Amino acid sequence: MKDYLCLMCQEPLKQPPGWLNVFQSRPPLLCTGCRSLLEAASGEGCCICGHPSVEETCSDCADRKKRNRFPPVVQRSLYTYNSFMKSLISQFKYRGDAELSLLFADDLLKLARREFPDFHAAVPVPLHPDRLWERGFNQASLLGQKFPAEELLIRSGMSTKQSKSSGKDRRDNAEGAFTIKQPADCSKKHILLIDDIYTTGSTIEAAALPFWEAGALRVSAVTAARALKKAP
Amino acid sequence: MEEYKYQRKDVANRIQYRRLLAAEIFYDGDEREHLPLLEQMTAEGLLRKEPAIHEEKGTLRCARCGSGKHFLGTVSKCGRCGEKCFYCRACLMMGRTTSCGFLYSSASAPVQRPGPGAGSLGWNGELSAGQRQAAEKLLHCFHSGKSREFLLWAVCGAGKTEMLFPLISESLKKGDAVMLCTPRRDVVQELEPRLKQAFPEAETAGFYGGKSPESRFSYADIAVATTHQLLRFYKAYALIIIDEVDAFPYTMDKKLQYAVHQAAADKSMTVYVTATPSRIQQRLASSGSLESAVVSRRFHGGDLPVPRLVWAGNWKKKIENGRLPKALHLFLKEAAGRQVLLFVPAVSWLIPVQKVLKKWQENIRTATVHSQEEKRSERVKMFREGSLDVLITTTILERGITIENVQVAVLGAEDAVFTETALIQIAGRAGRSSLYPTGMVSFFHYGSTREMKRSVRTIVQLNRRNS
Repeated sequence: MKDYLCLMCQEPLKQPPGWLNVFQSRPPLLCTGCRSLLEAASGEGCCICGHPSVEETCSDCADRKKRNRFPPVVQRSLYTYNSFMKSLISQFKYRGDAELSLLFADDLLKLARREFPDFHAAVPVPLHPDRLWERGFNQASLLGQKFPAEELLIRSGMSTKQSKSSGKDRRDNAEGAFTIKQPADCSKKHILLIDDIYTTGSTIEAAALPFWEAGALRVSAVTAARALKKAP
Repeated sequence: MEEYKYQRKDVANRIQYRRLLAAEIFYDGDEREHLPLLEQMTAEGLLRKEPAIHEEKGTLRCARCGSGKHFLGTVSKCGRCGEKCFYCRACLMMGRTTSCGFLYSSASAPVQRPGPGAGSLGWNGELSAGQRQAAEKLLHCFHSGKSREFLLWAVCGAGKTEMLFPLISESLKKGDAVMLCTPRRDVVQELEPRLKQAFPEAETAGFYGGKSPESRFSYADIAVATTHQLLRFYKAYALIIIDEVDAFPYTMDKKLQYAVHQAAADKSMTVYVTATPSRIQQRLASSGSLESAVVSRRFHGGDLPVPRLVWAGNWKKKIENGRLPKALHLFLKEAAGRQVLLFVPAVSWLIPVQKVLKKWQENIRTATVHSQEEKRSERVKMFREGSLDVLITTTILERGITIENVQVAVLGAEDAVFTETALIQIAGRAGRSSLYPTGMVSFFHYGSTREMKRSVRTIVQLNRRNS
């Protein structure tokens, strides 16, 4: 039998013998040790961005509600952006280990079906063409590989990395960076955005903007990881 | 920001001795912008270019590390070629090899070579008779050019590095750079300064993961690299020395072979240095099909300490109950103030054992180390300086560590991690200096194993060889 390795630690997967293995067509992708380091971002949280242990609406989302013309984008994440997730995402995005997207692809679809059962179109947040060339793939498209995803957006602006900037800069960076590919009819539709990390929500907000302007009914988002704000 | 414009000479400097991805060559600049330069240099015959992932007998294979299909990941729509693209996960840490990418190597002679003075030896110690014999045999083999491989079997503490000096010197004098490869980063960090000292005129450099990018592609007369870094070198070295060849994990074996094969020049010699050759190597050497030299004496002429096998009963239960196994207690008493290196089979035993020791003697100074420990080198340094009494460790410290007058104990020697080679290496930690040529080595067990007995037998046989 072929040895299966854990996608992260590269150790051989040791599976206890059992009927489950006989019926399972595919072994798990992570060993139990690495799997346990993933922290699910579930439970009570902000009703908009899903930030855990916040009642009703978190302060960021409240601010955003006041500032914007359009309703806020409701988003949910699979896991929190803890130190393990950080190394995982950096191996995925910056080292270019595309295979790691398999860890989230199925679960993201499940999450989307559960939270936003009525979405019409799933749209991965695109990369700037230069960045796409450099990286070799768009991480959001890979995360959305199990969706009937449609690449409806084009990223024109922003070539500084979001992860290198903070707060207000991120917002300025992202604003107006996205346009919709023509012809695409988005009116009265529920659009679901897919991205890798939700930090301040600026990227998602900017990516949602053209859809609002095109008359979308609702824009939601799912992401693999959720960065937590420092405790107040 | 003004982007740097690369010149031909920048590329030539980085590519010499190596085979690299475009992203590695232009690591500090814009890769895309400079691809035409590589194209041009290839057209002029200055560079060789080959697909980074190629098809071999119907299966895809990474050209850099030789990994097969099992290690390849896929991207359904590549951002560069727009098609289904494979990439290698096995050597991902060194940059991504992809089906649409290329590896570049130099098509002409290297720009830099060892200078005329590089081979002069700054070491004025003297080789023992055994060492000299082995060194001469190595030189003879090197000159005759008959054999491509050589096994240097030298016991722990025989002074392996010094034995290699004449050979390295000879190669440098001929104007050929030398590659030394070892499995662990710690060993690279220890060897590099020693070589620098021995060859003051030569340029030495250590290559291991986590080094700054500028030094990653620098030139060296004597290069010391980890196996992974060896993968970057290509058809460059006439002399490759592999230190502690047995320390490579079994799975790495094939990869190492591949890396050595890639890094070796068309006509080259590979020297395998080890204290514990595998049974196959031993057989090949004794039948004469593998050139070899055996040094069974330590440089100070003393015997290797023979381990004692000591029954420790159900030590796991004892430790869990917060008590010290009696045999270990007696050992520590006998050690009487001398430093003790205590091996345990797994990381999970480090802290319990440390607690029990603390309970036994409150003022005992202990520390623990394992492979993931961030303060590993600090703690080893403290132990070396004598500010610790007992260092509790996993097998990570089984080799490469030299501490004067240290006593060695293995708790739970029956565990499967303690193979014959591991136990011989562990026993070899004791009695390494000429001031203290003896030392206690005890294997505490709960039922002795074949590996334990074999290790003792091998050590006794080696001691008998020269007496």
